[in-house]
Amino acid sequence: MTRYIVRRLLEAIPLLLLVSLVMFFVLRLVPGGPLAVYARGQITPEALAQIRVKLGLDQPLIVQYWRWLQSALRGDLGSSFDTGRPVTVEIGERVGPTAYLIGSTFLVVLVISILVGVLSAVKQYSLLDISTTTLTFIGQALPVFWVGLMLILIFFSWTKNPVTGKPLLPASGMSTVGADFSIGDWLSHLILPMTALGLGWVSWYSRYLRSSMLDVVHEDYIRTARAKGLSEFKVVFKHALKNAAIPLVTIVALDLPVLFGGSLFVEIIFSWPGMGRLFYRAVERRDYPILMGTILIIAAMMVVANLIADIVYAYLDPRIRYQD
Amino acid sequence: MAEQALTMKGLDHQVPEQETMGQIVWRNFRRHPMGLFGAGMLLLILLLSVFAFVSPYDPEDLDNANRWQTPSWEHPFGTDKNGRDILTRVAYGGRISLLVGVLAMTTASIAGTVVGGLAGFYGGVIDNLLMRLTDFFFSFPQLFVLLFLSFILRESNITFMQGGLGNIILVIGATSWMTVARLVRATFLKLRESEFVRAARSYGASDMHIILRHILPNAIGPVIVSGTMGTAWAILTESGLSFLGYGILPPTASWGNMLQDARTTMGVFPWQTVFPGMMIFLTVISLNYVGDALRDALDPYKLVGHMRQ
Repeated sequence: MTRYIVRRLLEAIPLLLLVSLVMFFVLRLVPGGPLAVYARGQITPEALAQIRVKLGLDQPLIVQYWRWLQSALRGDLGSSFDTGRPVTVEIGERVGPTAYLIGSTFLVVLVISILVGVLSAVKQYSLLDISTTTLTFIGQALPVFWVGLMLILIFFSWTKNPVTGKPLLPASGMSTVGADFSIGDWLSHLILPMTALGLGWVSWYSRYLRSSMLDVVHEDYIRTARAKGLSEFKVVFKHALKNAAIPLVTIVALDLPVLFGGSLFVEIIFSWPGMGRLFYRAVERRDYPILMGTILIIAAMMVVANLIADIVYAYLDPRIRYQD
Repeated sequence: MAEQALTMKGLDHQVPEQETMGQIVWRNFRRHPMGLFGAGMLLLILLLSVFAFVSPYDPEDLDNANRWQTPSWEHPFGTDKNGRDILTRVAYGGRISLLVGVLAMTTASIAGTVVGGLAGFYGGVIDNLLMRLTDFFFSFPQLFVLLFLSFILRESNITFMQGGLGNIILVIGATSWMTVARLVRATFLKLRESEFVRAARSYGASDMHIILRHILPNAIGPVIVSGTMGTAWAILTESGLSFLGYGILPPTASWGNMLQDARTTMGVFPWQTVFPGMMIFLTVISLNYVGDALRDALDPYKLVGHMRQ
C-alpha cells in the first residue's frame, strides 16, 4: 500500500510541473504582464525598466521559469504584489478556513443524506421518498450564490432575534470581530454559509444513496444477515449501508472540485476568509504570484483528495487491491 | 413476426406502418409529466425572451425618477437602482442566458465529440494523451479555471461580441467538454471492432466515412441528453461568472449580473435579488427535467423495441 501511495504521488509531479509551466507562460504572455500593476501608478519609464531588471523580467521566458521553479522547490512562491507578504504565508492563512467550511459542510451533508437516503430506500414510495426525488431536482437547479443571497435576506435582513432585536443569524465572517472565542458564536456564523454550500449536495447524495441502497437490499448477504437474526437496524446501517456507500466514495472524489467552486461563491458572499476569496481578490487586483500559488495548491490538493478516495475505496471494498 | 414469416416465404406482404424515430421518441417522452412541465416552462421562458421588445421600457436607458419601485401594475417586478424595469431586463437577460447556454453547450459538444472520437477511434498513444487531458480537466475546479481564462481574455483586451458574450461562450465551452468526450469515446471503443464497421472497412470506406456515417450516429442519443443537462449547467455557470463580474458586462442585462447589481442594496431593496434568481432556477430545473425524460425516451433499447413491434 505504501508503495502504491508513493507511486501515485510521484506520478503527480509531472502534472503539477505542467500546470505551473502553462500558468507561467500564459501569465507572462498577457499584455503588460506582471509589470502592468506597477505601471498603473506614477512611475518614470527608467524606474520601470529598473524594476524589470530587478525582477529578472528581461531574461528569456524559459530562464525566468527555471528560476521560479528553483525557488518554488525551496518553498518560496514569491510575494504578493498586493500586500508584499510571501505567497506561502498568504495561502497558509486561508487553507484553514476553507478546509473548515468545506469539511464541516461535507460532514453535515453526509450525515443528513445518509439518513434521508437510507430512510427513503427502506420506505420506498413513501411520502419522504417521493419528496426526496423532487427535492433532488430543486437542489440541483438552485445556484449557490442565489441561495446565499436569499439566506442573507431571510435570516439576516428580515428575521430578528426576538430577545436582542439583532439579526437572527450573522452573515459575514467566521466569528464576531473582536469577540472572545465561543463555540456558539462560531457555529452561528457557520450555519448560513454551510446551508448555501450544502443544500444542493444533500439532495444529490440522498438520491444517490437511495438508489444504491435499493440495489444492495436484495443481495444474498442481506438475507443472510436477516436470517442470522440481526436487528433490522444492524442489517440496514451496518451490512447494507457499508456496501451501498462504496460507489459514493468515487462520486465524492469527483465532486470535490465542484464543491471547491461552490465555496468560492460562498466565501465571497459571506466574507469568509478562505482560498476562494483570496483567489478572487488576486484576479481582481492582478496579483500574479497569488494567482499562480492558489492554482498550484489547489491542483496539489486535488491530487491528494483523489488518492485518499482510492484508499478509502480499497478499505471499504476488500476485493480491491492496488498493485504496488 | 407474421410479416417476417410471409417475407421469408417470398409471398406478397404489406409493409407494416412504421413510426418514424421522432414519433417514437415523442411517445416515450410524453409519459413523463415532469418532462412535459419542463418543456412547457422552457417554451414560456423562450417566448418571454423573444418578445422582450414588446415591453414599453428600454432595458438599458436610465430613468432616475423611477428608481427602486416595488412591484406594481406598471412594473410587475419593480425597478432597479437606475429606474430600469426589472421585468424588461429579466426578459432581455433571458435572451443572453439562453443564447449562452445553447452556444456554449454546442461548443462543448463539438469539442468533446472531436476529442472522444479521436481517442476512441485511434486508441493507443492518442487515446492515452487525450484521456489524461480529460482527467485533468475533470479533476480541477472548473470555476477557478473559468475565472482564470476570463481574466486572461480581459487582460489581453479581447472581447468577442456585445458585452463579452463570445468570451463567455468560449470559456464555458473550453471547460465543459469532458463528459461528452467520455461518452463518445465509449461508443467508439464499443463499436470500433463491430461487424458493420469491419464490413465498411472491407469495401474500402475511409476513416472519415466510418467515423461520421457508421459510428457517430450511435452516440447521438447520449450526447443529446448530456447536451440538455449541459445547457442547464452552462446557464448556471454564466450567471455565476456574471455575478462575479467576469461574465456578461453591464449595461447588457444578464440574470447573473442583475444579481450582482442587486447585491449591494438587497437589504433595502430585495426585489432585484428575487426575480432574476427565480428565472435561473426555473430554467435550470426545466432543462434538467427535460433531459431526464429524454434520457428515457432516447434509450436505444426502447427505440429498438418499438421499431420491432
